[in-house]
Amino acid sequence: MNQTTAPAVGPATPAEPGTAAAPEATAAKRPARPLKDRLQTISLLAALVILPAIFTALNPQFLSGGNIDSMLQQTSILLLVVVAGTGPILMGSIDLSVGAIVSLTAVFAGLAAQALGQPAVFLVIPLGLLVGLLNGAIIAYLRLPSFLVTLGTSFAISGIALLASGGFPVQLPAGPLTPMFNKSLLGLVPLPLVYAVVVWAVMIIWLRRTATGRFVYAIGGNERASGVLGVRVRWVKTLTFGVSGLCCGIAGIALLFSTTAATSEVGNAFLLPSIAAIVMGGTPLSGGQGGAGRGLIGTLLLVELGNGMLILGFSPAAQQIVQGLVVVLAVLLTLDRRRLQIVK
Amino acid sequence: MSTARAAREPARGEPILEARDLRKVYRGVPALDGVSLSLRIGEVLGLAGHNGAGKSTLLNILSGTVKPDGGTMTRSGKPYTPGSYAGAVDRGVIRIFQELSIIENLTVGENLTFGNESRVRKAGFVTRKHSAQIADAFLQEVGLGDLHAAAPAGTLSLAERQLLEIAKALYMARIRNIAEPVLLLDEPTSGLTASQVAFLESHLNRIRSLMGVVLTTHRGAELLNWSDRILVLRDGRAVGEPDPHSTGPAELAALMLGDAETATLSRAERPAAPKRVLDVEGLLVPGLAEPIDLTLDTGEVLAIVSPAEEKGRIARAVAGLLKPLAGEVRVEGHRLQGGPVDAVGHGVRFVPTDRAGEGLSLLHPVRWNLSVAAIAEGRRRLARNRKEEAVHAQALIRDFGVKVASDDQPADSLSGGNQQKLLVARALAGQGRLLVLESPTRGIDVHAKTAIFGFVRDAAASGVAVLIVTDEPEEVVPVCDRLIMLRDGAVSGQFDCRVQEPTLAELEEALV
Repeated sequence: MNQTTAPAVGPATPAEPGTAAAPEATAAKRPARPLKDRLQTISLLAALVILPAIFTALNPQFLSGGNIDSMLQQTSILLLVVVAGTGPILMGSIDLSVGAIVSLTAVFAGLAAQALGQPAVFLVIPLGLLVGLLNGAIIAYLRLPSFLVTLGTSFAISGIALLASGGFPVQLPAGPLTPMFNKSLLGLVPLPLVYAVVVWAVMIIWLRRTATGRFVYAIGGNERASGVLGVRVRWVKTLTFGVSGLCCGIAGIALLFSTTAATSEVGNAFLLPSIAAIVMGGTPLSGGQGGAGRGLIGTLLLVELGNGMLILGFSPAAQQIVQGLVVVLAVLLTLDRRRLQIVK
Repeated sequence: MSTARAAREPARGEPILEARDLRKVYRGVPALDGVSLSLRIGEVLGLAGHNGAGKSTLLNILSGTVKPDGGTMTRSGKPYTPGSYAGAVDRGVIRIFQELSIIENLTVGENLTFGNESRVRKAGFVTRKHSAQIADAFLQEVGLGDLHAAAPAGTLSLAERQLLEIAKALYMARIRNIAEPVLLLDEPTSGLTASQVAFLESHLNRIRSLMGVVLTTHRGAELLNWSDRILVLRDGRAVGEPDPHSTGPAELAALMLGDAETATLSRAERPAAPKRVLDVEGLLVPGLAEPIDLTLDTGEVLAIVSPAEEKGRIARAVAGLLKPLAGEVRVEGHRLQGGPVDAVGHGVRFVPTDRAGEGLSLLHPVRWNLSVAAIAEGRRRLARNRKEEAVHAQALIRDFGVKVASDDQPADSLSGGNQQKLLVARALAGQGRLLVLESPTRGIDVHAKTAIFGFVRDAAASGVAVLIVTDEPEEVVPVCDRLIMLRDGAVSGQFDCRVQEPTLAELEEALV
């Protein structure tokens, strides 16, 4: 397990007998986390290999060059949404508007490109940031629960996207940036995936190696204690939601180039898989633990699953059922229920 | 307080609960190493011992939440293997946890019958009136008629809540037709004032013939006053059964400590040229009847003693955590207005009494809990540089004697005393000039208390100003320079302890 994917709380060294402060308390309260964590990582990696094997056995098309390329494309966008959603979940909050912000920014990127030429798509990155900051400010300064606020704003954002698009797909005009999103690195890795991995890596560093990132974990661990220590809790929350929106903006651009036309709902379908990928990646919804690192494994798994079902000819209805159940299953497997005294 | 002891009936009959040679090993470390006990009806058995001595493990085993690795238990002569908390309750062995289970927005009667509503149904329905009648009748019968079934539980004092928990346990035994219940009381006086303790004791004496009690408390005097017999645990072993009638608190403490030395405390030397650190003018917080003025110089220790909640609010106002109703707080001449960020920025360090709720992030490693404060105070490098962060944590762990196996251990694996050391270490790590301690000894053992007050003295000697708010005046007298007593929200006594330490009588006079 390398540094970046290590869980926030991964006491690798068991308490040495004799030096433990209170053996009774130590053993009674300390969860067998290291083993459970390792098992989780191993089983995730195993699933990552077994799932394709099953799909390939059922339909060899699964491993064809075209399909792999398509899976990598999907990975790039889902990974960006996963990275976006990780920060809020680490704080014990949740951002349910990620899908809507992706849609909004994809639509606006298309409109900007139509009006000002392709390079104008990048204007939607500050737009995403702004929407995210707004989410965060409402949550932090008006003290409202994040799931409710972002559920509400996601509808409002979708409405704006619908209004802006006029209900029709917004076409991406041809332009100089198309190769930047269509080509592959060494003919193997699609460039959008490279960008997504870069954003993912930056997020890992931000969360793990900066003061603000540490405050994100601290807030997830104990928000009141963080406030007592002089952490600017409300600002950190606002900023984290802002960063989430920013990542969604990048995802919106990548999605637009991938589909070449954006509808006002084009990003909505990423919400549920992204939460599933985050939770599978060992970031429980209770906050404070996990990180962006293993979100990549969760992302790959969900893409494999979605793509495999498509190749095997599952109906959209069946796909939806499976994806929904996967989220519940992921929460069930990863949630540390000992920590939760009340489940609401 | 030791009023009724001589008049008590002696315990009678066969043991209603007996344990022989109980053992429990956690990761190779024996938490309980061959402990035996027996309890008769009408008897209070006090368990003495420091954190880690094995008290909780013993209570956990008796109440069914932990399976012993060895040993046997019998209940009124029959084998007793509860298997779970519910299993223990079904055999009439009921533990009352330190954190009470009273539901504030229900009435006393509803709390009493909570979970057993089917017993108070009338024509198939649970009605408030009918269940209140049943509850009142029961409370009268067991001699706890002071509790009124119709009263909202939220209005009860902490002592009355404890009493309600006891009544609830007796009720649970009653509806299971258990004649000789065993109650396990875990720190029933934690957080109670002296008068509340007396209230609880007198009520307990009234009903003690109905049950057998196993009691734990950190306060030695209480243990001696309440118990018929005492079992002292140390390092998982029973090391003595002193007679509570002829043993003094000092003897008991010595038995609990074993060979460990008892440190004596002394006040720190005052600096030659003290400078003003804290200036509080006309401060008004909820609970104070009149505004209060406070000053604090470098190297000075001021204690505010009160049985009520206003003292915590004063501390919070100083730490920027509570907006005062009136008045102002100045630290080194700067008027605090920007909440905790402002206070921390001007060198105020607050140690809350609610360690789990406001102090530590329990799921995070000790190292993180230490570094997050330093990072918030501006040492941002600690977030980036793991090596520096580990050095920072290990130095504090060493200097403040925090007992951990590794700085990677989650904070919730530490005992209360060690958590408190961690918090004080963190508060004194950086550029803090004013340390504010809120009831710093609540729920921690004698060792940790001594250590904490030692840190206070050392900090004061190095020029840190210290404000302690507490309800335990005897504890702070040896370390504080000045002591302010509050009663009914107003100053009722001021003592300059450097000139003359107040006697216990003087302190009590100011409190009552």
